[in-house]
Amino acid sequence: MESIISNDITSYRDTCLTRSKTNLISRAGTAIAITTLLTVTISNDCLEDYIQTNNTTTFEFVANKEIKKLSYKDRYQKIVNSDWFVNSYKDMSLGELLSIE
Amino acid sequence: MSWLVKEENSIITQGTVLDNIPWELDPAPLGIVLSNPCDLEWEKASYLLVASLVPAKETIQMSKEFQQKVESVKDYVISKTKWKSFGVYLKQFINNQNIARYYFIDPTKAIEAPLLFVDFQHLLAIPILKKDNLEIVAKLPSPHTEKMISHFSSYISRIGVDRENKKDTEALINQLADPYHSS
Repeated sequence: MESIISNDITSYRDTCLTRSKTNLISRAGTAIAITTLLTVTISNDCLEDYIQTNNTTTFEFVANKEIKKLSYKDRYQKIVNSDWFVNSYKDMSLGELLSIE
Repeated sequence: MSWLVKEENSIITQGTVLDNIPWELDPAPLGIVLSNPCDLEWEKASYLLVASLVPAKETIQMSKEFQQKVESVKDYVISKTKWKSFGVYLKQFINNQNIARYYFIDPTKAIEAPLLFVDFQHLLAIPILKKDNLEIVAKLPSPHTEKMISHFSSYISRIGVDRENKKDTEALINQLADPYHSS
């Protein structure tokens, strides 16, 4: 059985750990998600990428306390300081307000 | 008011707030479904159209308009008169009184998140076959969903037309205000 060790998971964290556990299991077939990692999920794209790169469809995820989905509040705190948000919204007009009342 | 409610049924429809949307942004925002509910119910949608939910406070405060309003303010203290007009300005967003790029949502009754704007410019069409990858978070209840959609359709169908020049506008103002006039 192939293993994705903690470091591998960490390196995949930003792009992969976003989808539901149910989906992971249904796509990977033999994937195992252990209890302590129920908050950890993986995207189909990343999963498929991993399958192709490693020529395997079997995974075992190793517990890693670092891997935890951020709360919405914490995530939005990061969003307001992120490059994509600042670059897209700083000094933008709020747009013309067309009254409907 | 447009307060979200927790979604107890697992059906994705118009107004459903979703997570795990493949925005290809880090960190990724939540999104809200704009797709027609009948298309979704009768499986006539090939794609799920979603708009992003961006933080309202920072979006307002980073804007040109807000920066202009506070440029003369020192130590964050605003005079009472100015504060009143400030409140009127912000109430337009809170009550979604106007058609604009953004639609205000207070999500705090359903999820622990900051005040949000639906951004009608930040859209994504997700193949419907991938909808099982999405996580249902909450729902914008009726009639707020319908109001949001009416704002979206009005925003997206705006048509730019030439305006009266300054001189002609001034003359029209004078005609409409007559007999009142400037001191």
